[in-house]
Order: sequence, then C-alpha cells, then structure tokens
Amino acid sequence: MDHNKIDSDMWKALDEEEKDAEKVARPSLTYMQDAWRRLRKNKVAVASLVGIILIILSAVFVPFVWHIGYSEQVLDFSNIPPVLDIYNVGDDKYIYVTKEYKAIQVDADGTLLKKCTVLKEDVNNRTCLYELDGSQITVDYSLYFKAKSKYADLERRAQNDPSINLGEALHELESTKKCEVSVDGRVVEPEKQVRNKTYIMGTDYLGRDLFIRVIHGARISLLVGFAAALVNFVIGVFYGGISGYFGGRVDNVMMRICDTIDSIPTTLYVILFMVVLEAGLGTIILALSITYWVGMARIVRGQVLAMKEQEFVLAALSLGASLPRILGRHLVPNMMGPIMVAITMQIPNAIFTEAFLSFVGLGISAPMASWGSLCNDALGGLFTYPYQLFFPAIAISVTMLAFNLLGDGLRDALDPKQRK
Amino acid sequence: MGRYIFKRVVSAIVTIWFIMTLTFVLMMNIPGDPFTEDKVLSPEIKQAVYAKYGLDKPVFEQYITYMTNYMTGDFGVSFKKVGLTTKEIILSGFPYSLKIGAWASLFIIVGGVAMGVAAALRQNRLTDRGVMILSTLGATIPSFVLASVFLYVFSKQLGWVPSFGVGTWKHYIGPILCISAFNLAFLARLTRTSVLEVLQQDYIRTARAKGLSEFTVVGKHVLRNALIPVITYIGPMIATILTGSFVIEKVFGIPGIGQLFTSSILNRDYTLIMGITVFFAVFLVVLVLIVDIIYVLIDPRIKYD
Amino acid sequence: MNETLLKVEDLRTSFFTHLGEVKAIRGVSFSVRKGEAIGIVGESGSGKSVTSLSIMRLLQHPGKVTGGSIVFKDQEILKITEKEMRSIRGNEIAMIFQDPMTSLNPVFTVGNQIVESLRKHQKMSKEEAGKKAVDILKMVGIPDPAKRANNFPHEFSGGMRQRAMIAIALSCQPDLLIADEPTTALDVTIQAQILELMKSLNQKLDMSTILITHDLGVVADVCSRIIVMYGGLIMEEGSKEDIFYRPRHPYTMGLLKSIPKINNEKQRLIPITGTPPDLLNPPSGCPFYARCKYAMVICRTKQPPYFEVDEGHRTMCWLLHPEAPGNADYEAQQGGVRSEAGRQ
Repeated sequence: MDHNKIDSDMWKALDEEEKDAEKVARPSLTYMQDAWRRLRKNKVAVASLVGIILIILSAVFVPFVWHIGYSEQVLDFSNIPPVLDIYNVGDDKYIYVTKEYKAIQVDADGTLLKKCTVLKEDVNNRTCLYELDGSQITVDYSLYFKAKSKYADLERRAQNDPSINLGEALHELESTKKCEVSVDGRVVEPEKQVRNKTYIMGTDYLGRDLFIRVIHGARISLLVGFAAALVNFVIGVFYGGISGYFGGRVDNVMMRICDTIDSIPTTLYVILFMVVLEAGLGTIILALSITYWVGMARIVRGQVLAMKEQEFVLAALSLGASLPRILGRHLVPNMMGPIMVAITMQIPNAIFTEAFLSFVGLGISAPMASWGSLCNDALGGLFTYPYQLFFPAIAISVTMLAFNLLGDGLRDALDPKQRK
Repeated sequence: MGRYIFKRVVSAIVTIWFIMTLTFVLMMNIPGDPFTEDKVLSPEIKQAVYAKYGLDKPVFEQYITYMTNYMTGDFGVSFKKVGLTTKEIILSGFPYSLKIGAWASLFIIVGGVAMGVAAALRQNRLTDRGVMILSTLGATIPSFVLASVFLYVFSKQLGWVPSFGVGTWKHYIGPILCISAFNLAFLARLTRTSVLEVLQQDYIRTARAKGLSEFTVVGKHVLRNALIPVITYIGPMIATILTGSFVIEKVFGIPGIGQLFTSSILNRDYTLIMGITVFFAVFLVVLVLIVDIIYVLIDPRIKYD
Repeated sequence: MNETLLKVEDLRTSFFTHLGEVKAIRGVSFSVRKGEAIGIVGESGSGKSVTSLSIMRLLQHPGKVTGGSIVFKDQEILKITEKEMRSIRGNEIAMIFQDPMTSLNPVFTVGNQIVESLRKHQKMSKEEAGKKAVDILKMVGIPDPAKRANNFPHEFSGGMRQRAMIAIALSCQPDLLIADEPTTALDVTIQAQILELMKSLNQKLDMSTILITHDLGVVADVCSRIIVMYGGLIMEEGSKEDIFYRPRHPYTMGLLKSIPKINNEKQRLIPITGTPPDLLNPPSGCPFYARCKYAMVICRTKQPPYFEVDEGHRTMCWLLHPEAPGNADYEAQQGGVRSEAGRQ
C-alpha cells in the first residue's frame, strides 16, 4: 500500500445511493420460477420434455390423418419389412420376395402394388412359379436348403473326423443365397434397396401396418401411464393427507397398512387382479392403481407431518388460523415439487408394467395394440423379422428414457439442495 | 434385540396370513372355473369333480381347509397337470429360478455397489458419467426388450450363446445378465447417491480431521453408513428378480417358476396359481425379515421397540 | 512461551463454483503462539471457517487454497504431502466442529472413535488405546466413562457429544486445537460448561487454541487475542482488551453494539444494517463500506492497508489514515464504546 499523498476528494463521505452501486441486482424469483429456470438450463431434461410432447401429439393426432387403421389387415402383405430388396423383372416392373418366398409387385420407389399370382407351388422341389403381366417368375429356395443339409451332414461327420474344417463350411453356408429369382428362365439379382413406401415400419404377421400400431400402442401406453399416475395421485393425496393430518393412532394404523401392502409382491398381485377382473384397459389402470399408490401416500404424509411441525405453522395456529387453511396455503405449494417428481417417475412405471403385462399375455387384447403386446407378437419371429420388435422396443425405451430423464431433471430443478 | 426379532417375526406372520387370505379371496372371485373351458360336463360328473376338489363346500369351509392344508405344507393337486401336486410342480421349477436369481443377486450386489462407490468417489468425472449413463439405460430399457435384443445379437447374429432352454452354463448368461440389468442400474444409483450423501456428512470431516487415510475414511466410515439404505433395498430387490423372471424365463425358454406362474394363469390352474403366489409371498416375507434383522445389526440407531 | 506455533501469511482460498470463483479468503495473515488462545470472530460468510479448514487442508471440492503460506512448527503445511499432512491432522493439530449431533459417526461407539485416533497416531495396541480412551472421556467430564465408551453417539446428549468430540480431538495431545463454533449448537448452560472445560484443558495441557465463533461473548471468556474477520479479510486484530475497550474499526464497533450488555438495561441493541458483500465479485475497496456509517469515497475504490494502532493491535480502515479528515461521530463512538465497555 502506498502511503503517498491521497487525493482530497477521496476523503469525502460516500452517498448512501453510491453504497449500493456495486450491488448486483439479482431478480428475486418465486420457487416455481426458479425451478423452471433451472429446468430450462438442463438440456437433457428439456430435450426429454420436447420428446414427450412430440410422442403425445403424435399419439393423439397421427391416427386421424394416417391412411391405414390400426386393425386393418392385408394378409397378402404380411411380414413385409420396412426396407425392401427389389428385383427388376423387365419393363421397369419390380418385385420383392418375402422371407416366405412370396413375390410381391412393387413400384420402383417402394410402393407395394399387389401379390403376384401363383401359378404353381412345388413344395418338394422348393420352387414357386408366379405370373406377372405375362412373364413367369420362378423363386427357387432350394439352394440354401441343400447347402444347409450338406452342412448338417458335415457337422455330423465332423464329430468323428477331426480333419473336416467346419468353419469353412459354415462360411460357405452363410454366403449361399437364400433364394434365386429368375424371370422367364433368366436369373436376376436384386437391383436395389428401397424403403417400403406403403408401410414405413413394415407389417406384422397379419399384414397390419406396424407404424400405426406403434402409434396406437403409444395411445394405450400413455393413457395407462397418465391415468394410473392420476389415480395414484388422488388416492395418495387423500390417504397420505388424512394420515399425516390426524397423526397419532390413525397415522400409525394407516401406515401399518402401507407397510403390509409394501411387503407383498405387487407384480404378482397386479397379475392376479388382471385374472380376476377380466383383461381390458380399465382393468390394467385399476390394477396398477390399487397397488402403486403407497409411494405417493408416503410422500404426502411425510410432507404434511413435516409441515405440521414447522414453527411458522405453530405460530399461525397460535394466532388462530385453522390447520386446514394453513395446509391449503402452505402445504400444497410446498408439496408440488416432490409430487411432480413422483408423478413423472410413476408414469414410466405404469407404462412399463402395462407393457410387461401385455408381453406376458395378460394385458390388452387384440386387435388393440400396446408396446408390450407388439413386442410379444414380434418375439416368435424375432430371428426372421427383427424389425417387428425393433420399432415398438425403441418406442417404449425412448419413452421410458424421456420420462426418467425428465423426472431426474425435475428433481434437480425442484430440489436445489441435491444439486452439486 | 430378542424382543425386536420376535415382533418382526409376528408381523411377518401377519403379513403372510394377509397375503394368503387376499390370494384366496381373489381366487374365489375369478370368473368361471377351471372346468368351464372343457367340454360341457354332465351335471353328475361336474358334481363329482367339484366334490373331488372341495369346490362344492361353503366358502368359509374351503378357506379353513385351504389354510390348514397350507399350514401342513399340503398345497393341493394341480387342476390341469393331472397326477402332479402343486408342491411337486413348484419344486421342479424353482431350482432354475433360484439358480438364475442367486447368480443375478450376487452379480447385482457386487457390481452395483462397486459401480456406485466408484462413481461417487469420482463424481462428475469419466467413471461417474459412464456409470450414470449405463444405469440410466439399465433402468429405462424394459427387460423383455433387453432380453430380445440379447437373443438377437448374441444368439442369432454372433452365435455365441444358445437361444433356448437350460442345457449348459451358456444358457444362463443371457437370463442372468438381463434380469440383473435393471437392479444393477438401480443399485449403482442408490449406492452412488448414498455414498455422496454420506461424504457430505460432518462425521466424515471428523474422520478426515483425525488424520485417517482416505482408504480408512471411505472403507470404514463412509461404506458402513452408505450401505444401510442399500441393504434395505436388497430384500425387495430379490422380489423384483423373481417376479421380473416371468418375462426373462418366457423369452429364454427357462422352465422356472415364473414360466409356471404365467402358464398356470393362462390355464386357469387355480391350485397352482395359489400355490405359487403363496410360495412367492412367503419366500419374500422371509427374505425381508432376514434383511430387517441384518439391518438392526448394522445400524445401532434403530430402536428395538 | 513466545514461540510462534502457527504462522499464516497472506492466505487466499477460493471456491470454484459454476457461477465463478468465490473468493472466500482474500489475504489473511496472523500467527498463534505456543499456549495462546486466540479467537476469530465474524458473521457467517466472513471466511472464518474456511480459514480453519484451509489450515487443516480439509477443504472439499471446489474449495482450493490459491495463495499464501501456512507455517506450522517451521513446516510449510501447504507444501507437504497428503501423507505427511495426515500425520499432523488429529495428532498435532486437532479440530472440533460446530454440530456435535452430526460430527460423530452414528454407527461406531464413542470409544471406538477415540481409539481410532490413538491407534493411528500413537501406535497403541487395542487394549492400551481402549484404556486411554476411557481416561480421556473421564478427563472431559463424562461420568461412568468405562461404560459410556461402549455407547453409540445417539445415546449421548448434545453436551455429552461435544465432550466426546473434545475427547477425540484431545486424544493425541495436539499442539493446536481449532474449535469451529464449538458451542453454537448447544444450550446456553451447556455452552458455559463446554467453554469452562475448554479453558481448563487449554491451561492444563499447554496447547494453543483457535476458537472460531460469531459470538463475541464466547471469545471474551476464553481467548486472549481476537481477530475480527469480514468479507474474507481481517478487519481488526488485537488483544481482548483492545477489541472490547478500544475498537477502532466501525465493524467491530457495530458488532459490540449488537450484543446485549447485562449492566445497561436502557441501551438499545443496534443492528448492523445490510448484508455481507458478494464474494463472487468482491468490492475493490473495503468490504464493509456499503454498511459503514462513515464510508468515504476512497473506501469504495481502494482496499485500506492495516494501521498499527498499538503494539499487536491493527485495523484495516481508512479512518485511521493520518490524512483522513476527522469524523466527530466516529471519534465520539469510540469514546462511547470505550467508556461503556470500561464499566463492565
């Protein structure tokens, strides 16, 4: 510090206003504004929120504008994947050969036209003869079959003869074409890969459009998720509110009941309820609601109890305010945070349980579709038609992820104490 | 201590009674009965069949019979699998489920705790990020999706594991991994949160102020406290493993108890449904009881009242 | 007795948060002599606790010492390895924390937590350490110590727990004891007991003590020298008498006026209005200027140097600059405080 001469102006008294000059004006925010500000800063949570809104919007509106209904079947077009290897059969006509060796006429851009007329199906020689506008198309699927039986034979012999190179044989088998297509005796190769324009996600085993079924599944899943969360919320708030408000013996008994419910395996009982109450959408929601409200009730009870012990509540009580009034004024806004987080976390739980039930075969029944039942339907043909599992699986995983990430984000935003 | 355990045992018995009664009431209310699907039976035969299974008695009498039979370990005979008792069927399936469940539990507890502790100690660094991403995925991807993807990739595409059944140890890899995923993720998160919270505690600062090494601080002071909530989760976790196995056993074609349960429901095999439910429930309540007792041994703050 | 045990020089500590660098300590220097008890006083956020954690090298992420030196027994603490530091912590420098309720590990017995320290630093056998722990518990005034050693912390009352904390801290007979708000969380009667215990132990064991508190009453009882901190800086340092009877810093004066005095019923308590400075953007001048009645233009722009009032009594305030114009009110206040305090 220099002790040299200091400008005399410096010794003047400082105005009161000037004292505040350096104070940073930070706007004061309400709890919710602050939480919203924090949530907006969390990119993952915002992306999840946007994703959820998009899923909800498409679940609600897409079925109105889509050209195919969710239960419409076209058996000719069953098990068609979303990407097609097409053969040029002359005159700019194209066909696609399914995994079941059916020939289907398609556009050059991938629009399905019609199934080719079968002239002759020779099961013994594993060939099939189709007719398309005068030209004859032969689908020969015996090659792969022969290669396979040759390999099986080799494999059997290899057990006794170590000199046989199975790896090479396997490689040969894998490089064998599954089928050979010839037009009027001339062998053709797949010309190009196009996207399926008619069914953008392909079709299921009954020729139903997978896209609209996934969207329909979203409707069912979201409906179940939101409805179950809502019912849980109502039951939880009432039960927990009563338990916490009265406290003492009432609370004790009510919480013991919760403990007992907690200690029974809920999934098991959801399943039993499903059996007793006959499968259906309402039943699923009911079964989920009967068993999953305990968590919500505990949160509400905890908040009410904590609230009752707060000193400002005691102060207000001693000034003559009634407890219900205080709870209404202070409790509800205070509980919003934990309840919102709990609801956001409960929705994916409900969606998951519904999918689980449908997957086991106890959920909603055909022709309705949920993500779980779509996955269940796809399981049988998993190795042949993996796309049938892919789309509903992606849909449910992304939705669960979005809800969970949003829940995490909400918790961080609503409970800044937990933030690092 | 003895008093505490006694109280817990009594409450476990009450829970089991409650579960058994609830199951009975539910079963009584199932619309139709196991014989409605069969060809129309003549009234005499129907009556004979009903009498054989005691279905013609008043409900309360059936309830008493049911309770006393279960008390003596008699779970009745299967309605649909002729000649087999429920107990035999359960005991035939349970070993598979137990094997998968036990390995999965071991994997989850060791892996989850290790991952959680590692993540917490390296908070916001690469290890932590990795564990968090894995656990978020593990907690959100449904087990049936995971199992199907596993089958498609490792069985169909790579051919590393067989796809179906229970022949060799290779058959168990998929089921164990897929059953573990969710709980592994959950446990890792729980441990991480718990360790982070304990690390913030004043008594950890006290331990550090004593000059203890970081190894002692974490290994003794942090872990002992952080694992308390983790232990409470493990009892119910085994429940999710067993119930989660419905799906896994279905996808991987394992003839375990989960598979039996789903098929018994689709077949409306009442005695089997009842038997499995009660078996599950008792198993669970006993597990939770054991965890509760371990819990008081670890946390001295629990009052034994 | 005049040997310097601890010398802190120009210590700077910051917390690197996502909002920016919070400069919690901005150049703090003081020293502690052997056997001396000094008090560090200040309101929350003044940097007093951060100072003690810096000395112990117990700052948690994102806190970091950014400059200065801490010399303990001729050893630069900021430069030694973590392992060397561990052999000092709990052994030569021990610390007591504010909240005895949360500062003891709930899952280990009290005895176990004392034994831990003894075994680590004194290399005692389990039995020896167990016996020693009982002795120490007895020394800090815990009745029936042999039995109580096997109790868990939750079986102790608040005051007892703080005694147990003191027992842990004293177990290895440290040269320096840092007590961070040791009585704040306790009832008034228990406070007095704990302070009495600390005072007697301080004399008995010939150790130096740094007592950190926001309560001037507490330091008056125990400490011979007092440091007043504000906004991460030492505002005034002096003997107990200097601070209580001859304060020269407006902040110290304000502090004294804001505590009740038992002998003067009519006097009003005068709060210090305003809030402490934002250490994310610390003021370039005196940290107290915004709340200071006598603030001048220079106070806002330039940080004042220390002015030596007396030997061992220094104050960071422009009012003490020889060129500063006299402020009648300030002079009068000084007298006022002095005469009032003098009557105590």
